[in-house]
Amino acid sequence: MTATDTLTAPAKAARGGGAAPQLKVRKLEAWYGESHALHGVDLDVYPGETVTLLGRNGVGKTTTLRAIMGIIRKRKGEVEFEQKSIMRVPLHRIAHAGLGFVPEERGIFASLTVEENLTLPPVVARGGMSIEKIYEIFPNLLERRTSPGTKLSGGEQQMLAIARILRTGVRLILLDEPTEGLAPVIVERIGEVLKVLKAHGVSVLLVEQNFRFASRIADHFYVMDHGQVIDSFSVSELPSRTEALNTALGV
Amino acid sequence: MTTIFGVALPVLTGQLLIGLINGSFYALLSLGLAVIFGLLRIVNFAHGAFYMLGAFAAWMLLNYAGIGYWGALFLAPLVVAVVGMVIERTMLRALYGLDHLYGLLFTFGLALLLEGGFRHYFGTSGQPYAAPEALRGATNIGFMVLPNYRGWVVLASLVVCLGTWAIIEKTKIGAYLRAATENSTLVQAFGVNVPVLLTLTYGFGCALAGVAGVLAAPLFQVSPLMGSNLIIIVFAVVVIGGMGSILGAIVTGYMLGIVEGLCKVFYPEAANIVVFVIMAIVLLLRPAGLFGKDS
Amino acid sequence: MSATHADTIVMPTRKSPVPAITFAGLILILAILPAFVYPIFVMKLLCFVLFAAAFNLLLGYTGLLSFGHAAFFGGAAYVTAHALKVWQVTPELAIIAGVVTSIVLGLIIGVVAIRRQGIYFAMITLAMAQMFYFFCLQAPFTNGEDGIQGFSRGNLFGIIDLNETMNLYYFIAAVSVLSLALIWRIVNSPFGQILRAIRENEPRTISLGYSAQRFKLAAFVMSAGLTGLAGALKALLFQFATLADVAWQMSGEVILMTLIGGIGTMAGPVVGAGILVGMQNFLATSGLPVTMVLGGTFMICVLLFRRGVVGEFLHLLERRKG
Repeated sequence: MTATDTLTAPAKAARGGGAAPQLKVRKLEAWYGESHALHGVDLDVYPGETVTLLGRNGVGKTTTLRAIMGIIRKRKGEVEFEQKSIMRVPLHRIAHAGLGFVPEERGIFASLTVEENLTLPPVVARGGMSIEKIYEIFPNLLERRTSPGTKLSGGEQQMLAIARILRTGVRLILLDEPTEGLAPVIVERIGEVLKVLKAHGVSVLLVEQNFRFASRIADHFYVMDHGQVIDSFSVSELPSRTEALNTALGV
Repeated sequence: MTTIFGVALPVLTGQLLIGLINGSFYALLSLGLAVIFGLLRIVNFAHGAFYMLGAFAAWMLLNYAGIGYWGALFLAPLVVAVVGMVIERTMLRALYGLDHLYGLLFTFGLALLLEGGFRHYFGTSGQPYAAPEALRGATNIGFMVLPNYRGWVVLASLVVCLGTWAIIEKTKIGAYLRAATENSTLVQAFGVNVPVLLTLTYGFGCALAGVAGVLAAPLFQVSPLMGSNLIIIVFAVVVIGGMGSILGAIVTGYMLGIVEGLCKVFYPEAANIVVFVIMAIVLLLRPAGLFGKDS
Repeated sequence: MSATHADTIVMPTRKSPVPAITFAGLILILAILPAFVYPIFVMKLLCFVLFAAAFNLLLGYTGLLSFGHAAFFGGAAYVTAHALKVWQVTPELAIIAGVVTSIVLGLIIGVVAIRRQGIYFAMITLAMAQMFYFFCLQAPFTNGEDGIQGFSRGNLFGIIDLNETMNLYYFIAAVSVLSLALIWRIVNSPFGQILRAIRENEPRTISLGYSAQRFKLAAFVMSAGLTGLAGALKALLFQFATLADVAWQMSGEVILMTLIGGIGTMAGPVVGAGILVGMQNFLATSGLPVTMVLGGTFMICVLLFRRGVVGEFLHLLERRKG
């Protein structure tokens, strides 16, 4: 039985209210060249959930996101999005399937203006936010819209990186360490943005080192070690897990 | 007769015009190289061959299909672009993940193939190609008599160069190009069909070489050898300008053409090699090139 | 060229198996070959083998692709020819003059080119060699399109008449074998190890305290000098030095030889030069356009056959073992 199955034990309400998972990952393995980075990852994300991947540095969290997205092509296993396998979908068609990606480095383009950065990812589905709505939520992006993208501060770049995905209409966003290196005030802002996402029904698979931040917004947690998921629990079980978690995270 | 630095004005302006014309070709060709290199990271050694192809396409359109200069100006670059895109899609693509030098070697082989082929069928002497009626003759512009076709070449190349710059800097597809140049994986992850973009970019770069070829046809003779010696000077231009910048390629091209022209006036023996000398100097003082961003 | 992917370059260098035996075998073969093959053809082959081996020292072992080696080859050829014709010195002095020329050229071009890496390095060598080409085109002593010709080979050390084919043969064979042995020695010395380290991971080598620039320049100049030796021998052999020797097509040919034979192997240049010289001989009499075939071969090699003949052979051996 997988980690997921044991935890949706009959005594608790099933995740997603009985619906099928939006993202289903089974036995995902991945390689960086010769190096075997993922040894069989299993996880689920249900529609509208915010799920967090926890774990120490180097256990394969970012690799998992990139393998799901298909940026890493050397992989085995099964990844299903909305009940359709996306393992053989070429990278430039993944977004059209409904998956978005915000990398750890944010990926703001220096040779594009803020507005060009914002409008670069094409709209792939209905339901995305309009530019006007985005500028409403992020007024400083409006103010700086003709500046080169990398002239923004780290926090503003992170906002831009998330904002441009909001426009596209994707239904699940893979978010890699959004709060890394940012001041607490900005971290709060990002937390608010993620709540807005949730209100819009967008699912999020989040990799995050900042456990306190994650615990305030996530519905479900997976803990990774050595390229595998070793633990899985919902936010309601968090209090009983804190000590075990601290050990796993090496805190 | 007016003289400047001891040189008769007509001689000076004559050489400057030639310099400006050569500069136009340097700019057009190094622009194409820069566009291709920026996104594909391939140094297109075959660029001179595509330039030659463009000139031959114009010649063939005239002699086999009765299509004159104005039609050729549009069709020949298209033909060259298609040839380039087929090559990119079928062969060049396989080299993207490898050491960049393999791209250089492959396109070098392609250049030899194309030039050898044309040399085999057409010999080494050039074919003549007449300038269109509307551009024959000359106009007196006060300080010199300007041959109309030459004035057209300078004007047309400026338009093409600036048009290309505008497309890249100001349009949506230019934004895709600029972004993919920085991080093509991420742009793909956004859902942009980068593989197609690569093919189109290579085609566009080749088309630029093709346009230069059509412009060159009435000026120089249409010969299989016209590309190969030119491409090496263009390489030097590109090293001087630095490969990172589109505007840099354009400016450096024109600048060096003019410098070469001036050199012909004041120190003709060195005119052939002045571009290389400048390249050596720039490399010693500013290795990234005049406009280069160290990649 | 970095050697981090199996695909991007032939495998890391393998020592020639039992080198002494190989060289002894080579000497033996060369001694009896004139009985079966025209000595002139063998000598031409040897010149290009040396050219390719010298080039491979730079490309295969140091990882630097030069597109301008024709400058060293042709430059030495011109000076050697000139020395024989105009200064009328003995052949060994003429050859030394040629080699000195190529070393000096190597220093000049190297100092400028080494400042950049990878593709830029290649383009700079191309441009500077082209500069030299134009110089040769215009300089009076090279005789422009006609080239330098019509001179006697002279008497080696003043006593051995090199106009006798077999004398010339033994001389060129001896020089070639010694030069190949020298290259082998360089490649397998500590100096050679550092070159290979630079090819595989330059930043790391620098962090270990080695001045990569100095080593690269040294390798470049050595390669230039040995290339010059090949050019000088060629001028001596054919009694002829022309613009074709300094043209960029010649630079391309030596790259192709090395590629076909196998980059980064000692036997590669031998095989590659053999294939290319043989191919050119064959094509010269057939109706096929040589440049086209050369270009096509280049393309096919880069796409499908990057390891070259020797490289593929060694790769197959590895696969059998593992």
